[in-house]
Amino acid sequence: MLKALENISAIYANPTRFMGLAQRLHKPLWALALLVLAYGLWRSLNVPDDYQQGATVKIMFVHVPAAWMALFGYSFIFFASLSALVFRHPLGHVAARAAAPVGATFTAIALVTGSLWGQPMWGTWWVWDARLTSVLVLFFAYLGYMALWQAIDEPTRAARAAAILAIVGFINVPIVKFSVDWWNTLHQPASVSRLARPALHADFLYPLLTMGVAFLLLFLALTLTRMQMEVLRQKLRVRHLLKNGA
Amino acid sequence: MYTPYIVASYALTFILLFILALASLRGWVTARRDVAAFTETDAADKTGAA
Repeated sequence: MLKALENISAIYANPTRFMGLAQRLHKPLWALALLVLAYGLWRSLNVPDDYQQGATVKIMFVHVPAAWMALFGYSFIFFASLSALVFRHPLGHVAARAAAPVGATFTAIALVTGSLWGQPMWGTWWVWDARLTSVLVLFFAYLGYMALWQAIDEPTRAARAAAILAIVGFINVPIVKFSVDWWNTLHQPASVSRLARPALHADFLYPLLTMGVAFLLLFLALTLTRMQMEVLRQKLRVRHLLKNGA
Repeated sequence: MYTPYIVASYALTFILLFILALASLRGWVTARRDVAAFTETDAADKTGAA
């Protein structure tokens, strides 16, 4: 499995080859993402009311998948940055930079929808508990990562500095995940990841998983689009340099 | 029944995702156009120089 991944990674290390694959995948990935999203949305808006939360439980179907993508996005940036720094993968920095605004948007969605869920359920928009605070720190980590790319003019130095920041910032990801177990928080503990016996009824679990897949496909489609944009911008910068230098 | 909290959650989620998708697709189209324009200008310059 690892060997196969290594081979795929080596084949698509060439940006020209990657662009060929990306062009083929681009439209089908977007179409599939929108299709699954429409189905997930229809299922989420037609679930029965929860016996405790009533209709407000519907917020879960956007809040939870967005929070999953917030963590997945930062992990994606971490592994892409690591592959760029350690294995000098030419697309590592491109992938990390492309995923940052996507991950930041999902984190913002998780924070805002969490607040809109918290008000009717807890009676407050915000509390400084471990889960909420660590997700806010994650959002700032995304912003810091993007700001660093913008702050340094020389692309190689910017890429290196941003990758180091992404790797250091990854320490926050397990803190977000396990904050509900390590500290006494107002936020509820994990209900879906307990695969042996999820705490959710099937009526809620399947629409939630469908929305999770839809958000994952959206994340991949958005990141792929932004990766193509980054590769083209790099290509243009190199051509300008070659022309002006010649 | 959809409470204002549910409506606001779904509306904000899809507005944010729509803005991101629009910005990403626009950036990609612009980058493609810029590369094509550069290639065209460069080819014309080379033909002119020859």
